[in-house]
Amino acid sequence: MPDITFGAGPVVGADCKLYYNTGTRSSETWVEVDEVGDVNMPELSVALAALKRRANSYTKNLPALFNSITINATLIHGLGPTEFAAIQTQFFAKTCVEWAILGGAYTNTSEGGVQGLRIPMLVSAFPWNQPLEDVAGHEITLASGLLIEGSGSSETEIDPVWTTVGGSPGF
Amino acid sequence: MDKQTQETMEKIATLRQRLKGNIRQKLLEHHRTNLVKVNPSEVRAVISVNPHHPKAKVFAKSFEELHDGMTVYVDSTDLQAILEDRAVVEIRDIEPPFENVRKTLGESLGNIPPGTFTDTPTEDEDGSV
Repeated sequence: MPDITFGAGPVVGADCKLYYNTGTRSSETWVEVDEVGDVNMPELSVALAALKRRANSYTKNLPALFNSITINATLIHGLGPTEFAAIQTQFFAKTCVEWAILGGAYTNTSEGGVQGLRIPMLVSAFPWNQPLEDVAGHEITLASGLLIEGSGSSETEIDPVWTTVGGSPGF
Repeated sequence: MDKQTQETMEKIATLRQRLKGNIRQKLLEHHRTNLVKVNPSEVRAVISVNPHHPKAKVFAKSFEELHDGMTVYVDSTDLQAILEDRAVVEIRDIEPPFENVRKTLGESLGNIPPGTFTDTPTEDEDGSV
């Protein structure tokens, strides 16, 4: 079996982490986005082709492409000016950068380590909610996007990858 | 072993793994990393030590917008490579359904004399993350 540690145990959402990368896939520079409330990745699924035929009474599904992956997060308005400016710029400039959604901190060196998904994403929605009796914020949506690094013969399309931080030495 | 021979051997090793695993589609990469929490001013200091290192050039760009009071996370092997003036080599190991990827230090790049800013690492300290 591949050496993917399962993590140090159960965690609550408050201890999970969200980062964006100002560097490249191979020379990463991660900035934590911590002025967020709930973070959810509701769409991590595979498209299915339904196989239906006379010869069998059951519908069978064949796996096709991975569906568009999205992350929703509540970005609190008025806090974290650097991360706010970066996300706002990504939205208005329609730029795609790499994000990481992890089950713990990037500096976690516990035996189990932490793991998560690194994925190029666009900020596809940046609405501004101003409820009368609740904290104002932006229910941002990140959607998987096309990110190309390098140029010419060294051009590389960046795909999502699973990442493990810390943990016991593996492969 | 020269760089070209090393690259050829890496390609053949990867191909052998693919033949062994009968891989028909691209695998999900599984990156194992060791990151270090740094202040941008620390990374700028590292860049100034060896500005011609390829990693230093990438960091110079990625840290442009980051102010000194921030906390960011970078790969420890990348920083070590700049300080030791060595290449960073990706090691790939196919183990379906994943392709495991990790970084290690490679050969010296010759930008700065060995030991100018750091002690020369011993064999045991040499790169594995």
